[in-house]
Amino acid sequence: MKRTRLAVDPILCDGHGICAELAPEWIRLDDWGYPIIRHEAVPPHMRRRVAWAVSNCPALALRLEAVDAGGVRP
Amino acid sequence: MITLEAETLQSRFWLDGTTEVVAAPGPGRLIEGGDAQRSRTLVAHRRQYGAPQPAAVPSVAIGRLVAEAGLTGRGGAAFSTARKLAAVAERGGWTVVANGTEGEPASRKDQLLMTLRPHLVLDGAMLAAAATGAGSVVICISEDRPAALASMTAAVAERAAFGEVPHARVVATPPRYVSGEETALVRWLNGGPAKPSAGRRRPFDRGVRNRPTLVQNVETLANLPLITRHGPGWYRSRGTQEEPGTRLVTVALGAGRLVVLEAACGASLSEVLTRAGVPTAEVQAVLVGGLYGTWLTGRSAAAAARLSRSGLMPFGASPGAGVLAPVPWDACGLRETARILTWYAGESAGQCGPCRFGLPALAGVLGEVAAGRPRPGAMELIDHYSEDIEGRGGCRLPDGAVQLLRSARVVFADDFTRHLAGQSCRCRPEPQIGFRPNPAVGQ
Amino acid sequence: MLRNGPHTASVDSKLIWYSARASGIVSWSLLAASVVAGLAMTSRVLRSRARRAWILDLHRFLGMAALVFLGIHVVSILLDSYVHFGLVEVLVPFTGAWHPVAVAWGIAGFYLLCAVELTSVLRSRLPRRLWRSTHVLAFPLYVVTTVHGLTAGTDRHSPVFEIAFYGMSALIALLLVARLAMLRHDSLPDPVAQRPDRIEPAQRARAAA
Repeated sequence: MKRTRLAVDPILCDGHGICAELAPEWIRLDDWGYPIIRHEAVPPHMRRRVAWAVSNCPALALRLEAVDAGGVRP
Repeated sequence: MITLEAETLQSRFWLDGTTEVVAAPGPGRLIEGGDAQRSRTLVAHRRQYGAPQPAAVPSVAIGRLVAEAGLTGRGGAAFSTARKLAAVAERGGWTVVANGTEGEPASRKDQLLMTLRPHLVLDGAMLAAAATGAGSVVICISEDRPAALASMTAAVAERAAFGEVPHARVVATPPRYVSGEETALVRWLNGGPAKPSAGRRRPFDRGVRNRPTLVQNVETLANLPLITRHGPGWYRSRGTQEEPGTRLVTVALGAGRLVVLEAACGASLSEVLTRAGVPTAEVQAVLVGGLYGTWLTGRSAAAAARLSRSGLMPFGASPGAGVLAPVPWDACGLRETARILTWYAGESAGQCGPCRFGLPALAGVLGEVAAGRPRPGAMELIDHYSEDIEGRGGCRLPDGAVQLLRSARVVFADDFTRHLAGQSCRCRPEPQIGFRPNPAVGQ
Repeated sequence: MLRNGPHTASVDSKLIWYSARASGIVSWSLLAASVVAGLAMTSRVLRSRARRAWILDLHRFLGMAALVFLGIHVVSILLDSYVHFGLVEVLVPFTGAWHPVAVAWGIAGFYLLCAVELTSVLRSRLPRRLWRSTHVLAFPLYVVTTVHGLTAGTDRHSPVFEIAFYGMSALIALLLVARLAMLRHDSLPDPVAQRPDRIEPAQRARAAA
């Protein structure tokens, strides 16, 4: 399976915080309720949790991207 | 008190009635002698600069000439212009957006260029259109710059009167810093708000009307007709090997006064400052690049710093938007930085939580330190906020604030120590670096 | 023990009629609750203390349950012998003889709820914009359903139901206005001087550390 990383679109993100509830080992919330996500590739044992967080984001702001992909900004 | 030597300056202009901008003379290419009358009209422009695209230069060759010349962007990012042109050209360009918004509030070079050499900018935009296959040109100018707006609008109208229809139009943009960002401009032209979109679609791929769009700073564009006319060799005859050519520099002199001059890339900062009338011995520190920039000590500026990426990288800085804002010895760099951070906080587009809440929080804590009333654990809190907001916005605004603050802590370390100890700041209270304030709510 | 006869027939048909009424009311209530949960989830009021994943789950469950009870409502009406609704009358508006306008509201609500639920189930596979623009139809869906309840419902004149309908509508309108105000506020960043200091909890923690 190729290596993927979790990324958030900061503009779509509304700070609901559901992702941090569902995958607390991978996502934590900053002082204002917005997600801080680990940069590394998601390890196999976390994949289901992280995918669950992605599909439950009310703003659809989370995505899994291939590790070599460029980030959201140049 | 930074004094000005009158002999080094010539023509004076009042832009927008509030800021005095003086174009200093020098062996410039974009600005020569600062004579406003020289090339404002199309006739005078043609007499001075000739035709932009000589018959010997077909459209397909424009990109190649620019690549050989090694021109890079003058809007702050310094991306290779040839690569940008190629990226749009290979997708079939739709439109060229000449970015004259000059969101960097301490910069005036783009406004001056558009006021003095509107036809040079237009020539450049049309060349870029020819090189990318674009059929239209849009010139974006901030709505609070009436002189530049009037100048470019008149230039476009004049072309039409002469029978040259460049399919160009001038569009006013909101006077916000983030409005000049590439994706924000595209969004504005597509009818949306002038705020960045963090989508992975870059304008060269999907921009105005979802078609490939070239967004280029007006100063960068103004170089194109010079390159096509005189050749890459001529362009490279000034500047350094890695960074050829010249660039416009805005030097802030305090009390709302600015000097705009043209310098070769790689020129020493001390030489540039001296030409602007600023004796380097009187400089405590220099803000390099713009409010989106980095502080340098006066010593580094005087000694080894040069106006190029390689010349500034050892100091953790980069040319940015070409602004140099020196502060004298009796000014408080910490207070200036706190003021600038407050400005940053007011410029947030409000789209991303970390920026919208983090920048004001950061500015608030720093403001307390600057006022001599730091809260307990202020520096740890500043560290915490800086870490938390860096890289987490939809654009680079929060990164600029963090980078500026980081450099301030190094350059003004003594001031930080004094303020944190609650000692009063004996520096002059008036702000040193003048810049355009945040727009009113709703703009 | 029930034997076939006029009395049993009326009990059976009454049962089906009660079922239609009850399931309609229940479906409406579940829909209203789902809308409230959805608005509560996105409101800033319930920020740090609420367990949001739970509210999201509840919101989804209520929406699906509303659809299920709507199904029971429609089937009951089809089976009911009093008002003579066939498949066409139930799926196509203005084809039945009984209160056609009132029923049309209901049919519109049925399609809207199907659209909202279907796009939500397939959410991860659909373009984000399509899901979002369909989901916003939840508000007209609620209005349409409430109008149906107020005009077609057998119980519409009962004061209990009137209070329920108007009261719930007022609550949803209030939450919606608050949400829109929040959206508008989001798009206009305030000048720094007026922004309240939001760092109190973290700052206190740090000062204590």
